Amino acid sequence: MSLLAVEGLTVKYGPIPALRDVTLGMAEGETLAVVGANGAGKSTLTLAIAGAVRPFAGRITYDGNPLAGLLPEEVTRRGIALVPEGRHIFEGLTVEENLLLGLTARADQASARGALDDIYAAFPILLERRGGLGTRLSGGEQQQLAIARALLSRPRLLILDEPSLGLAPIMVDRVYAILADLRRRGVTLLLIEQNPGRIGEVADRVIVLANGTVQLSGPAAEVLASERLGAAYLGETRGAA
Amino acid sequence: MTYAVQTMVDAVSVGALYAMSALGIGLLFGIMRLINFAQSEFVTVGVYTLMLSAGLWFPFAALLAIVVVVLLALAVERAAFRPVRDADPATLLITSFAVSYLLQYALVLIFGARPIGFDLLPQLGQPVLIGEVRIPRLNIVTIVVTVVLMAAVALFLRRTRIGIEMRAAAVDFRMARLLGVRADRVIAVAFGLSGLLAAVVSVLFAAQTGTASPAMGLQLALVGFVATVIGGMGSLPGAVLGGLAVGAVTVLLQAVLPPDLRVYREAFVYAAVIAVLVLRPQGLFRSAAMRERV
Ligand SMILES: Nc1ncnc2c1ncn2[C@@H]1O[C@H](COP(=O)(O)OP(=O)(O)OP(=O)(O)O)[C@@H](O)[C@H]1O
Ligand SMILES: [Mg+2]
Repeated sequence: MSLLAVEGLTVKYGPIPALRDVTLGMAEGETLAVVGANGAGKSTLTLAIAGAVRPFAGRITYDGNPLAGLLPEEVTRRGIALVPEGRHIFEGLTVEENLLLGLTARADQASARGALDDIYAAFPILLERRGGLGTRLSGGEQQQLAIARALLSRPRLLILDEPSLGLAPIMVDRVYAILADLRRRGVTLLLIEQNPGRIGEVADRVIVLANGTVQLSGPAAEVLASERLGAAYLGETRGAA
Repeated sequence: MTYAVQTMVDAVSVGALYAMSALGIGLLFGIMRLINFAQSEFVTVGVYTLMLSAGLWFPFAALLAIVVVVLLALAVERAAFRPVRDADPATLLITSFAVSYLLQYALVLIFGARPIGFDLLPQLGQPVLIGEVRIPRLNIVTIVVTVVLMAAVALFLRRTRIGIEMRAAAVDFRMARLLGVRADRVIAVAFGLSGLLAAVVSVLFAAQTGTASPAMGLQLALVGFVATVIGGMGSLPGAVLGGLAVGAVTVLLQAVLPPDLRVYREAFVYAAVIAVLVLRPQGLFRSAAMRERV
């Protein structure tokens, strides 16, 4: 059974649709990458799943239940965590305070302290800088903080919107190593990137989005090797790889 | 010299009242982008409660005022602001004017428009002699209460989970909600807290003025708003410092302006505010530019 099913999703900002009739499914444990150019509607897709923008039409089903009408804080409690584009580290809050907020959605608060220690073990830089302001970290460190914060809610589905955006290559390596590790541990990942560049390292399947519609979708190896990839990226094609 | 010290104490205690008003307004502004003009009626209702309970044991009357105002703040949030929570800031502003108006005219209907005099703790009016300097007890009480309350609010915001959630919600509400912070809860707590601040201001203000009148809170709310602007919209320490600054400047102008210019005191204060907005639109006490809300 699929963990996430998006069917016929249309999202509008005012009269203009940012997503049109998007359908996709994700199996538990799978990594799905969604790629597309500026303005393709990738972030809108993540926000709609997370409950932060309201669909105009269509259904989103998670673990067998419709998410329609749930507030973002309720969606998170169901086990979906979003690391949004731009990281959104809280200004004026310390690294540790940022992380504590990640615990908000956990059902059992008893295990919270242990979870924080585990995160510090996995992200030593955050332990080192835990008393400092989160916004003082470098871009790559902030991205790690954003991912760590999302992980603290113990999500079954983790959505990452352009996690490598604006990072130095060495930091992109680090982020992708983290993603590969999460994938190995069975976390279902929805990975958004603008360019197909490195997604082959982690993605099981790839969807290409352009102008708010799915242009191409299929197993990662096929889509990334497809001669129609370039055209799909520009929104000039439709269908399977 | 003694005059200077007296004026300074006066300036700080007026500034303290303004700082508490500004913090109440700043809390709600940070989280909801709401400029709550009904904050003035929270204070006024507190004063009327004290007027009605005049003669009761003072700590009991003060507690009663706090309970009434906090409940009022929570009720206003639930009835007036929750339905328009996701609306644009202009709608929120208009709603807050409407609530402010409604409460003020309810008071006029019940108690009439004339000020009603009453005596809250007359012994607070007596001065304390420190060397040569005579300082009204009320000023000392005001400063001490403000310092204690501010410290308590700061501890609450730094050390408790809900406090951290509120600070996060104030800088990036959507991100906070994506992490599981419940909008209903942080907003209710923010209203409760601003009600508490308004109630404490109402006790000190009632002791100072000794009257209850329907529009008496307006000045405080206006200054509170001005203070949040000067302090940098959305910054709580900025709001507090802004309140202190406006209060201090008002009193100092009163002291140094020639008598025939004193009536224009407020005009000078607002001119200073405009200058701040032109020269430092991000506020006096705000280093980073205000984050865009996504
Ligand atoms: N809040 C908004 N209000 C109005 N229009 C919006 C809003 N957010 C996005 N859009 C528009 O919707 C479309 C899709 O935007 P979206 O952010 O989902 O694209 P994206 O694929 O994430 O792009 P990028 O790669 O630049 O992040 C764009 O045309 C964008 O201008
Ligand atoms: Mg985007």
